Amino acid sequence: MKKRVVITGLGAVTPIGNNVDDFWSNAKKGLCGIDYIKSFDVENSKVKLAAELKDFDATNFFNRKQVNRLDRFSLLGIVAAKEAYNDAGLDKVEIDRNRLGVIIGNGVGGIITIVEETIKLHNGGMNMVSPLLVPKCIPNIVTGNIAIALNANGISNTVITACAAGTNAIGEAFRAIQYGDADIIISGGSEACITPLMLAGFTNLKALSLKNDPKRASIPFDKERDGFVMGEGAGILILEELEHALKRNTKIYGEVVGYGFTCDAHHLTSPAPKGEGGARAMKLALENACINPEDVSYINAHGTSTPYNDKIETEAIKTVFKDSAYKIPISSTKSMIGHLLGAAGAVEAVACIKALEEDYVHGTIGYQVKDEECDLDYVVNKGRNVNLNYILSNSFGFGGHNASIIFKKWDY
Amino acid sequence: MIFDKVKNTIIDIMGIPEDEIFLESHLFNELDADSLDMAQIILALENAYKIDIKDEDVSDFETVKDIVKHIESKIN
Repeated sequence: MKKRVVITGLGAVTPIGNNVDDFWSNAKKGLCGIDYIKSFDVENSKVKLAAELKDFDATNFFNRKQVNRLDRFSLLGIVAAKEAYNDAGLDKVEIDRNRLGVIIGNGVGGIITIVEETIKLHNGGMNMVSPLLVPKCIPNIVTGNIAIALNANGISNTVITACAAGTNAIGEAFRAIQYGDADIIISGGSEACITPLMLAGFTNLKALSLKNDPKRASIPFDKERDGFVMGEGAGILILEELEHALKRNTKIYGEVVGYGFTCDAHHLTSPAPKGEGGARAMKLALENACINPEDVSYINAHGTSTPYNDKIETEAIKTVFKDSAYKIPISSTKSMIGHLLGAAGAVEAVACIKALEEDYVHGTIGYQVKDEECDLDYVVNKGRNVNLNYILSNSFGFGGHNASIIFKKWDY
Repeated sequence: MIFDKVKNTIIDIMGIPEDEIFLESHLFNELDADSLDMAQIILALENAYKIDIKDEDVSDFETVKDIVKHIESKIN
């Protein structure tokens, strides 16, 4: 029989808060984490906005040698992982390290390091490239770094499915614990790629909003939406086998009950025309959770604010949920923190778990103009008290990856 | 002179306080250098002095002095 999997710890580093408490209290206030880019000069960029971290100083967490050795995506992942680990009380108990795993998602690995070293190569030749290039930039190194930081000797894996990676990582951790491969898995996503190279790449791909008003740039489901806003950060969930959590009498936030994932096999960047892949992922997750669509009391949408995603995700939700689609509150965390790419699903999972805990769903901020093609209940602008039981969260990524995960209020 | 350069390279890469690095300091037992530190330190010094330090020589280095002496022998 498959084991039950619960959530016992949370960690987050986000553009509206560098820990879970700050993130969630600001999400409830509807704080916008988007602003003019400060980390580099954007005078010649068409896109001038991003959701950067505020007042995050790596030297508060790491010594100089550690900072030298870690790309920003590793730094953020470790900080969020430590918060989640301590939140779960794992710093105070003896556990079997061989049964403690790490599964982390990300989109582009240590791209900031790759850019820095490419410039050195170009300007000074091959001898100028740091020996740390490879161990800083490989996308799995965030997983390895978290394992080193927290002495996790169990299963470890890195999930690379672009913007679906955070959700896929949590889903893979859920499966691994269900099948008895680990007692506890540190899972989630981390991303730090707000750099001129990636900004230019996404801009020229026509994926980003060209708006100059921070409050009207990431506006999921609004008729005037014109692209996403890049964000950075990390989200971590401690997933734990139920009996293991009960035995150590720790706080249980909620349960993971369903996971579905598919591929559109259609186009590099565009979703399938009617969101068939996303719909199948949601359907698989519902089947996996053994529940009916009408049992879902909130959907945390992928909701990127691109013209295509929001229209097609809406259509996919209607395909799966039929009439009940109109009754389910849906919101997009990206309206506040932009698109954290490979970390998006993980930070959104943190929002889902806090929602379950408090029976409160945050709003989709910045919304003004109704789109007749996006006609569901997007909890516009202000959050809402809702009796929550099952929550579904979607993440879709370039490459046609679709992942849906279902969380349930903790109830033995 | 060479000692100062080697010392500053170690400070820069390993973040060790200046007053903890001496000519006799043992790279591994006292300064706690690992293979990644050594790769960075040697590359930085090769670039600074425009010399090539062979891997077999690096594997003989035990103290800061060993590095300084090796550089001296290369540039004289």
